[in-house]
Amino acid sequence: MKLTKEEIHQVELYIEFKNLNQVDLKYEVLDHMVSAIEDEMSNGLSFIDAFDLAIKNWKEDLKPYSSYWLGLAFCGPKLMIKKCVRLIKKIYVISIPVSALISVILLFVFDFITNQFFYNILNVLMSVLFGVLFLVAIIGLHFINKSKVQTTYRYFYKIQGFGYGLMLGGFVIAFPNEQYFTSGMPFLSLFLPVFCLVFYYHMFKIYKEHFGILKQKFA
Amino acid sequence: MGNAKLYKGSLNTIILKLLDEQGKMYGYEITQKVKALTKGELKITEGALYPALHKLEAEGLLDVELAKVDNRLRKYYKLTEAGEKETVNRLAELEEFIRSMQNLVNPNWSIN
Repeated sequence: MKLTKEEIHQVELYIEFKNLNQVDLKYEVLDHMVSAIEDEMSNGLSFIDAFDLAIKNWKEDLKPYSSYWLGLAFCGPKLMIKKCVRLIKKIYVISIPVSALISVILLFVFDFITNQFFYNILNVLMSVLFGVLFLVAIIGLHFINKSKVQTTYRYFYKIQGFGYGLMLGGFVIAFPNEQYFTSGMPFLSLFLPVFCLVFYYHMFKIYKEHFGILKQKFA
Repeated sequence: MGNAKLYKGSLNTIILKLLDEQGKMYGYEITQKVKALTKGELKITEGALYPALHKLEAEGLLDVELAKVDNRLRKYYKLTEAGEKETVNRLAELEEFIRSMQNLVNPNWSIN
């Protein structure tokens, strides 16, 4: 038994009421719920009863949820937040060891350099690099905000991109300090900017995923 | 559903195997097919199915295809070339696991 357009719209309104507006998940959940309702109606249930049953089955996955991986202030349907958590865990798993390795190599290299002029040039270059990336991050946030269609990637970029974008901006100020690169500098002071760079590389991939979904799948 | 924990670790392999047999499937269809094949013994929950599908898609093992069906969008999943190869590997692993378990609990029985 097939649902009418109005009945499908009612199901869609319920999904939107649960704040699942991200198209990469929303239409999949809608199709699943509608298919289940149609099956139950074929077995003799009314639309209302079948809809209630579908709501019961999805209750756990659509309930409001937050995770300390993203920040407890960011609350959304469990299905969507869980997808974001998987994204950030994957980014951390790659970014942390890669950043640590790059930092160790750089520390090793800096130990052999004593020329102050080199450090001054490096400071200026890093400051410019972070400045450019900061601008790119802000422009990225602007465009993804302007994008009318919501995706999980857009949500992720918005909640994570802002904080890390500000960190990029912070390093524009930190690098002109001529003491930044010195022999015997603490590991953490090099790891943080490197981590920020590696993390933002992944954010640009998230940005591309968002617009990729719009172009290829839901245009 | 008492065996749900035993099935859990094999969910990805079950999905890959089904897609290998059926060509392309959508989420709800997968849950119904598994329910039918296991005579209701295994009911894949929505909360387990979609994360598994999205993970396999992110790993490049599944490709997606959208179609408009009965006034709504439907997302079909199908195996990529890498997915086809991975299915063979994972099925071999699963069969090996079943054989090992069988040897432990009932050495006289064979899956062949």
